[in-house]
Amino acid sequence: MNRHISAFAFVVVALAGVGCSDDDSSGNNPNPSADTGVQTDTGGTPGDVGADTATACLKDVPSTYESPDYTTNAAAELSLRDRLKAIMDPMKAAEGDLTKKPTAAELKDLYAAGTPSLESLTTAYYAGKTKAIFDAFALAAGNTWTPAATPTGNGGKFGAYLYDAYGKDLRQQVEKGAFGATFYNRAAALAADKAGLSEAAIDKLVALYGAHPSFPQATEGVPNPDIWVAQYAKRRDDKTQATPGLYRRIKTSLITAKAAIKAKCDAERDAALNAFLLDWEKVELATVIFYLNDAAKKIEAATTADQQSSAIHAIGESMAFIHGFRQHGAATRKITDAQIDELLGLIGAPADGNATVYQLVTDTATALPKFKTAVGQVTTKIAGIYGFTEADVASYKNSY
Amino acid sequence: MNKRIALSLAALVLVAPVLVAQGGCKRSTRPNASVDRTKYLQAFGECTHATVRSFQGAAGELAAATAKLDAEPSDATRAAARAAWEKAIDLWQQAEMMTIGPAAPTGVPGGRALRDPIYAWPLVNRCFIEQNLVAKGWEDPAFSTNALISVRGLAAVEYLSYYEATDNVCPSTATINATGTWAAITADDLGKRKRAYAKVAADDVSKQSTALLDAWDPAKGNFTAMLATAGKGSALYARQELALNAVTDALFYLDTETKDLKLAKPLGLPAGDGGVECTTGTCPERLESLWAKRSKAHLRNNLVGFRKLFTGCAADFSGVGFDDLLQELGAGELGKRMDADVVAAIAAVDAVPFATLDEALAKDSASVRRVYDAIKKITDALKTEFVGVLGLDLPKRVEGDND
Repeated sequence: MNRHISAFAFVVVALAGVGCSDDDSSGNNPNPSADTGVQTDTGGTPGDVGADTATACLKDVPSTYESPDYTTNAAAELSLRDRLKAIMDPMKAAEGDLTKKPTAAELKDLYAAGTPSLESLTTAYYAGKTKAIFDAFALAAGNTWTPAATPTGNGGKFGAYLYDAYGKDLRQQVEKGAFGATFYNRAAALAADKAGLSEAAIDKLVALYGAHPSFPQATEGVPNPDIWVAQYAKRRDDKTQATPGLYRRIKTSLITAKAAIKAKCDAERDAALNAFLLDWEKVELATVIFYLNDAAKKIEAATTADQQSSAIHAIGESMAFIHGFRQHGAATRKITDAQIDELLGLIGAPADGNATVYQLVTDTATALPKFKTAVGQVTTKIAGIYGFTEADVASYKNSY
Repeated sequence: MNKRIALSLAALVLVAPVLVAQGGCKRSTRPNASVDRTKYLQAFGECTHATVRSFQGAAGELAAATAKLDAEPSDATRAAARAAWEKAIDLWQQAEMMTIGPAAPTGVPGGRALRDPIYAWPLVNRCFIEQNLVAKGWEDPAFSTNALISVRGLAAVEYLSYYEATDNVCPSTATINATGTWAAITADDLGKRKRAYAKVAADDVSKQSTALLDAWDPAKGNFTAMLATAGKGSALYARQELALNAVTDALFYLDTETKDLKLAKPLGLPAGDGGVECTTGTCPERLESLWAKRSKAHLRNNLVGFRKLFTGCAADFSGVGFDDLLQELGAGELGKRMDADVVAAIAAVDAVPFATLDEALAKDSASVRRVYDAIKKITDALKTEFVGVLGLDLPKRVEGDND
């Protein structure tokens, strides 16, 4: 009922806008509800109502995610989020201060801490990669590094980040890789456990994703900002557009899944969870589109080491977003290992070899045109895998 | 629950009076919406077409001159190549004010990003050009499609035609220095490579300029018609305001590039982004023309290009321009004042008592500051009264700047 009133308000405003189509035929009204205050209610974003998901079985889908026991239900998953941060903290400190040098053992201990540990929830393949990165990070910490035509040594700090000698941003391999290899992996396992699926389980998914039941679609200025994957979903979803993007779609899927469980509508529950996991994967690969295109622009414009570092850091993030899905057991994963290997190869970051990213700094005029071509190919391939339209791709090149 | 109902009803209560007050349509209250802009859009299109046509001719001359220098290197052919470059860049600096449609970035209506391959400044990278000199990147048959825009175009031709020393600015860790490949090139060979590279880069500029001209040619792309028929069947511009906005967006080059990048940064003043990167008083290394030392002429030509659209495109600036549109909209005084400000800014450039801005910055930076102040007077009006009278929007790159 309430939702209907809100929707009515939105329709009236929208119709008023239609009446002015001659004055705004570009369709660029950036925020159709901005004048009305409708968006002040986190559940009332235009186009983001649950009505579309109603079915014969699932008759009423709320527009907000209600869960008074969220903190209790998702305690273990919230702890996982904290533990990833606990690993990131000393790694970030080492990036900021060359005297801070966490040992590989310290980082591995943090990785193995807790029950369940991050390590235990990570795919076996990527857990091995992560521990190898800890070794490399400990060797690089405390050093400065400048990309060299012939890579030697352990790498070190270049600009604001720590790299191996081949230009691979080490911390990003842990953090962004964990989004797919650990958090998505855990979410997919929970979603696949049909017998264990309860409303409380959906709270766990919200936490693993990095959001809060309020779904603020904001990373600052709110009590419970989006973090981890939710932060990137937020960046890939232009909330001024009426058509929901990835963040709002994920929110709707989780609300629907919860309602479907309550109503015992298994088919709707499973459809919503599949949509949630697919959109999660899309968030990560759409973010690869953003970062790679951004990196190409940054490299060409870079005139300082900081700027060059910022660009190859973006490539490092992209590598990890892709790599985290490799050798994944989740049946819901859409991208295949062959596709992952192809993408990683194109951007000069083979799964089992040294990166060639450093060449973008040492031999830019030759390496960057090739990289730009590769970015175009990667963008096209990702769009093909997930069915992104040209408009989607154009949108994903922005950060919202 | 109740909050939601209250918000929804509040939305209705708030929005209804606004819609009524606006006659239901926000933009219908904009001033003099009934004035037909067709003749102005036609004039702006014709002016841009004429400017591009002149440039395309000069670009052809530049291609021929650099080819001759490559084939017959001598002081005379070098001087001829440089003269051809100066003629071409002078015209292009006028065209910089006219990055409308095909010259504009791909994200805007009709945008084909044809500007950047011709002159991508400030995206120019001497180190990358020098890497290309080692790699002989210009010999790649795909040079004109694959090479970075920061290593081609008029800026690359400038470096290759004017910079005669044998050093490079790449760091010691760059491949060309770390592996000794730059050092292995003799001075003679380096000169030969620069000439060969300049020839290919100039030829590419010529081809790109032809593509741009074709886009405006009435017998081909006919972009003038696309502008002139705005709101009357144009496939790109559903309303005249959109087309007019595309033209005024181009004029804002005077604000974001001429004033902020070409003057504020070398002068060590806060630019549009509020940042001051120069911490040593003045920063001549931030000037536009680092090798030919033509930064002063570039400022003047930017103002000339601006005045062609603002006042009239003929040699004496007669013809249809924005000042006429302002007159028709009842703001003739604004048009006269802004044109006087443009004339004053050109005079301020001419009054800089040195041939180059490098010298002026070093010996009389106040004279350069006077140019900045004179241009700021124009852009202040551009950002406020001008767009207000015309009922247009500021370009995104200008919104929020804190002059």
